[in-house]
Amino acid sequence: MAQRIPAQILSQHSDADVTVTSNAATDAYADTTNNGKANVDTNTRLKVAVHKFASCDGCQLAFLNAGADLLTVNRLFDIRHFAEAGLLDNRPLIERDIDVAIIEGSVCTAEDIQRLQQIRDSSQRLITIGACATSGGIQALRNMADAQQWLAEIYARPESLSSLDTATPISQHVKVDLELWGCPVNTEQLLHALRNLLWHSLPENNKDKVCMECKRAGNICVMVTENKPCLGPVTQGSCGAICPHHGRDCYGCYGPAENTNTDSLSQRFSGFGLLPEEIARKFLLINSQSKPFLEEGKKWHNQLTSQPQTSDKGLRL
Amino acid sequence: MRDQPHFLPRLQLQSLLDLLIAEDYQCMGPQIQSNAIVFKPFSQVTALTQGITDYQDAGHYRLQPYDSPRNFHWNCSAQLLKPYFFQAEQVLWQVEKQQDGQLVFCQTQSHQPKRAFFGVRACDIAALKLQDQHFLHSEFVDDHYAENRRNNLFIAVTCSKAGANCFCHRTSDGPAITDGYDLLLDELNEGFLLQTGSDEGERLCQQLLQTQVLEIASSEQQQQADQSLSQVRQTLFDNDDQRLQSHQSDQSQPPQFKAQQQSQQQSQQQHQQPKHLPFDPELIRQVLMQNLDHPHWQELAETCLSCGNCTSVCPTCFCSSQRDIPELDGSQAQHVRQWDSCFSQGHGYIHGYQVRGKTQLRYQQWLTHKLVNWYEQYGRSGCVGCGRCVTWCPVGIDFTQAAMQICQDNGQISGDRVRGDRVRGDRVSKDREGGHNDN
Ligand code: SF4
Ligand code: SF4
Ligand code: SF4
Ligand code: SF4
Ligand code: SF4
Repeated sequence: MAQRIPAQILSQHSDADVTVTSNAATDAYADTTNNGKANVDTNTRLKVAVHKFASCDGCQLAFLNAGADLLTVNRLFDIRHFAEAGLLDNRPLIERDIDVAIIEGSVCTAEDIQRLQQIRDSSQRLITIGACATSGGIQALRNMADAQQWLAEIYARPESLSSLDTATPISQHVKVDLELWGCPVNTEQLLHALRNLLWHSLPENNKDKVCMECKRAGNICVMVTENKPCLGPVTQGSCGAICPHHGRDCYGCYGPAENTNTDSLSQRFSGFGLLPEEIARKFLLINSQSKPFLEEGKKWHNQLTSQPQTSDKGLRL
Repeated sequence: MRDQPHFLPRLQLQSLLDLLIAEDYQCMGPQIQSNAIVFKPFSQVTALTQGITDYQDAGHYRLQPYDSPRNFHWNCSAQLLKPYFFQAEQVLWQVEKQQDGQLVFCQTQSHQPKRAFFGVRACDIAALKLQDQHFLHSEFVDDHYAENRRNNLFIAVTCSKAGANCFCHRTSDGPAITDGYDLLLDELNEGFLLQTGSDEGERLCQQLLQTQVLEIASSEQQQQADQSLSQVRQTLFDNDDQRLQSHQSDQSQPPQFKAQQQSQQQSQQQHQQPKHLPFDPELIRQVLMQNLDHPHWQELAETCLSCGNCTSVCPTCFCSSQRDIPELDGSQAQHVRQWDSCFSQGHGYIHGYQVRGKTQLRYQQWLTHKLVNWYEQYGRSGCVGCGRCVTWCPVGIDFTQAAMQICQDNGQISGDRVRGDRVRGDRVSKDREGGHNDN
């Protein structure tokens, strides 16, 4: 059964920060799975490797929490490497011949860059999962601070660490075929993407605002009833609007939606009585490195400090 | 019916409920959830809202205590009928893969219980008619909507107050309820005037009479109900007048459009502009459609979040998108329809081309569909004046102000026009009042 992708999803490629595989890439993928080997090798399942970079492991849990579906995943895919689940591929990275590499975490050390390049070179497809891999994650807050100073203040022996001054998303270093946003991603989102890979079709790429899901779920808007500063109107859905469902404001963990108007939203927050620094922190949190959030956050932070801060623990913008 | 009006004492509301439950109706009524009034199943009148009222303004909704035994002293709930009939998510069909690889498609059919809705307003009924027109009375009947629409009982309640965002008088959809109900209640402190509007309503009424639940309404009670309705109507017009006056004395000021800067306190004083729409179809067609490059559209686009809250809460909006939700093992998939909005990206996408990439174009689609193109599709405006889109817009954009602003700058709206509307409104309401008394 060939599940065709709704045209609207293809249209979303024009967004600068969306990186879904191109059609050409999907076709190439079909070639690798349908080559002559199938007749010889009984095991034609796609070979999958899950890798971790700087992260909390929460997105890998989206796999491990899949319950009975995990058995199905294991039946449909040949999972070669997944350290958190206890599966190790002991061959050197570059010799591994992987169909789909799934990456959690951001790039924080020089070693990371090297390892990532090797993973890319030995994988047909590369998918990032979660805010860290996709936009740097919470550790990317240090990109706006004096990282060396933080190290000195936090660790007893900072000289024993070798860490880059920035935490950066995977796409800043290698080509990424598909990005799954979220902190953490959820199981349905992940399984949906895997299912579509098997069909050689593009997974759904939901860039609509959380508000759409929120209203479909029948939630009551916390901005309208409680003046809570909700990021739902600028954040992409797929989370199921769980935060508003529990009466709290969205904190933007799925990253920016398409066509965001962060300016209007933050002015509304200001009207609710939030201070510039509080507004800045709304945007500079989980997806601080995504362009719309970074720009909006900086704008409010700069209002507070007309000169860049260099001498204290605060963010230097 | 109205010349022999019935009276349902407050303590007997439970009897009506019990009767409906005994007849297998699932009763849906207003209850408080997450700081708002929502509709949920109930079986005891004690579950209903009581001693509470609402305050609504642009981007602002609050419940407030109200010292009275009344259950229905509030205006539009967050949502009412739309989610029950045009469901936010609906499985349209399912496909299964057989052993031999064949695909078998089957249409899903939901079977809803008989449902009785307590507290439906004039604007809700008007909106339901528009949805029926779209889903039932168009060229193609929507089976899922039709199924959801079967066996419903509407127990309408006449509004006893008008909110700051209500403008049903301007769309001639309220506040009086003239048809579309099975039972109609007018709430007084000690109980309800009860009228019937359908065979089913009449049948239920006869049952209540047999069990001596109903009394004969006194002429004072009827008067009270009529006065209450007149007062609501008066409030609606007073709101217009007040806003118009402050608007006219305020002309030199730039349009107070960026509602988002306002604190809560300011927002309470915010409705400084008249809330009325030029509902002459020809006029609005000319003015809106000929001024698509009016600078005010740009101002709107700067404020609008393109979030789709307005279309989601609008009881008449009917747009949807569809998606497939496959089983992981590929053995079956569900094809789901879900609410969409002209503020979303997919809505403006036609093969290979995005026709509404920018918010300005999306806002224009929303406003011109509601106020212009709906006439061509369904012979009237797509707005019933409930004000939900104004209340539930997170940045408090008032779409009536938006339309006003554009028409006003073209000299199409003036105090006179407002007066003219009002005369027309009065005539409509007189007719209705007449109907109310003489039927
Ligand atoms: S609670 Fe947040 S996500 Fe939900 S509708 Fe309101 S602003 Fe949007
Ligand atoms: S456009 Fe607004 S006021 Fe009119 S029916 Fe829809 S939600 Fe109500
Ligand atoms: S096009 Fe927009 S305004 Fe018209 S029905 Fe659809 S969502 Fe509502
Ligand atoms: S718009 Fe009219 S009918 Fe609807 S709640 Fe307001 S006053 Fe009542
Ligand atoms: S008008 Fe308000 S509710 Fe509608 S899309 Fe714009 S910001 Fe959202």
